[in-house]
Amino acid sequence: MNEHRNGAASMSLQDLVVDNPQQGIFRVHRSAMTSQEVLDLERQRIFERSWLYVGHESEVPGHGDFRRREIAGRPLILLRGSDGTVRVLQNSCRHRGAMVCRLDAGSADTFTCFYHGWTYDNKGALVGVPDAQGYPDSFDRAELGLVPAPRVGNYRGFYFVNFDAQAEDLGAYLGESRTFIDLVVEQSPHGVRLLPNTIRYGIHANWKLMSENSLDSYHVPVLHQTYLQYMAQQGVSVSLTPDGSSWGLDLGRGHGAFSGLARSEGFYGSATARQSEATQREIERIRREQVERYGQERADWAPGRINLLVYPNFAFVGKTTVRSIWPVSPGYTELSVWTVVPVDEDAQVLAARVNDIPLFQGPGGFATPDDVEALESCQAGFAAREVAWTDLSKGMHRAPQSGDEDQIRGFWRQWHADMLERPSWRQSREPAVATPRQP
Amino acid sequence: MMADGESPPRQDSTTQLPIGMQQQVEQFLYREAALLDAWRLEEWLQLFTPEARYIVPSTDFPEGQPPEYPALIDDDLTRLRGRVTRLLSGRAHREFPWSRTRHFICSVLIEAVDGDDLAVTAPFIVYRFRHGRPTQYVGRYLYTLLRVGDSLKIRRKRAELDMGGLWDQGTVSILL
Repeated sequence: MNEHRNGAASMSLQDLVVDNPQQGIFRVHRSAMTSQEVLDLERQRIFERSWLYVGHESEVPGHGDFRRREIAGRPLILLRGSDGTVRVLQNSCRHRGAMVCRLDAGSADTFTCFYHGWTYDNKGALVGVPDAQGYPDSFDRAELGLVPAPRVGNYRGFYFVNFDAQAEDLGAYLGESRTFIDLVVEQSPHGVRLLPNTIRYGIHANWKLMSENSLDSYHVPVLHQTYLQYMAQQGVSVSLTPDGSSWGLDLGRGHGAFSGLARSEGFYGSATARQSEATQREIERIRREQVERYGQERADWAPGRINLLVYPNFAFVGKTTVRSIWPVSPGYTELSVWTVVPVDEDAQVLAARVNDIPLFQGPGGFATPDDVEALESCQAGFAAREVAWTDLSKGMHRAPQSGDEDQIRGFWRQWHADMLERPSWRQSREPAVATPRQP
Repeated sequence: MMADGESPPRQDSTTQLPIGMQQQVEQFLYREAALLDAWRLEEWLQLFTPEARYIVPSTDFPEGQPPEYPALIDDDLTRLRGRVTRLLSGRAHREFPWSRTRHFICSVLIEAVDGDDLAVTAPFIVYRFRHGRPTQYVGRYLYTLLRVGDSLKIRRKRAELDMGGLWDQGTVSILL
């Protein structure tokens, strides 16, 4: 099906995105955000074929530790077996289908289905069936373990799944985005971990508006004025002036990144962190270790604020949180957010960091509620159907800057190619601006 | 003074509370709720002590303590004042125009008395109506109140939510 209906208008998929670099025109038809048929196709052509984030290895540190996750509509278990291997298994009993894992998190040697009592070990093998002699000889326990996700990949501790068994490898898929995941991981010489809680909220807006928002710094000085004013009152200037450290990057394959704030800011811009001498000393110590380990240039990037979108729905926000974005209906999206912290961080610095993050981010922050409001306002505005097009042409005529929309256009180009089933677009593009070099 | 997250010894149910204390605490909390519902937020701020904290934990681990369990809101008085300034500015867009809210408090329980500190808990429902559409916040308050002469001050206010996620609410843009 390459047509869908939006009220009275009928649009072909081909016409949903207008991309004309020569004339500096980039538009998206707003029915892409309101149509159920578009969402049905997105599920088939994007979410069934892309690598989707499941969780981080630090969430299941010990043998038997598990986390329940729902990914692309599937109930999954992220699980570390007694052999130390992390697996991603479908949470459905092979017998009649009930979920064998009914807690969001925990640790277990075995999972026993509460319906008839089939029991699986923490590697997924079926190890117990009540009244086993009731089954014929053809019944083969060895083939009846919990079913793994078709493809599972891990990049630096971040686990992804793909429901397309033919999909390219995770590393090739992540492409250029790996450089930025490296920068997140390398904010400490010991790597990062995720804190145990999940911040969960819903937005009455299309999922793509959240993916766009994760790549958008144009809005920051306008929408988040009250946050910037509060920070200024605390004596912290959060500069958005393009000063060489401001850039936006279309990383190819729909991935994108931007850095809009001066390198020295980022989460360390916290007034709390700056006021404490002990915290300052710890920051200096981390910095020295980073210079020793990764070199001066790369260490300069470490404290900087970087947003990264891993296409289609996984974002790193300011190196302090990660979020997964899930469509429920064209006009409703659910988010799960986890906090990323360096492993072995000094207790005082950790406390300052964790206190600082919700000042800007999250449902109770000084900024995120305004993003939620803006996205919901856009979705409500789409009801003005005669206003058919969204404009995303900012910066088409120049080398991309942070506040330009180049990286958002990259997302939409991949989206359009996927919807039209043009696999050739899934190739890495040369980034328009030099990225930090690999060490 | 109690450290954050620490509770004073529990009140023995057989111990008689000083006469009038229950009523004083209830009246204080009802007046606080009325200030919030009237958006008289500058006056509301006056209820807090200088070292006060206002905390809304994450919805999946409401009992969790930072830093291991980051909160949705973890304000000292400086940040709380900033939050009020923001809400009153007309540029906290989630609250422009302001929602109508109604704070319901019941079953106010004085859990412990430790010198001038009172540990108080109470279930709550806060209704929020914006453009006529309702959402609700359900949970329980944990207060540390300080007796100052004949009146009370808030040393700590923690609003633990029961909803598991903010699926319908999206945010905590109002003061709970």
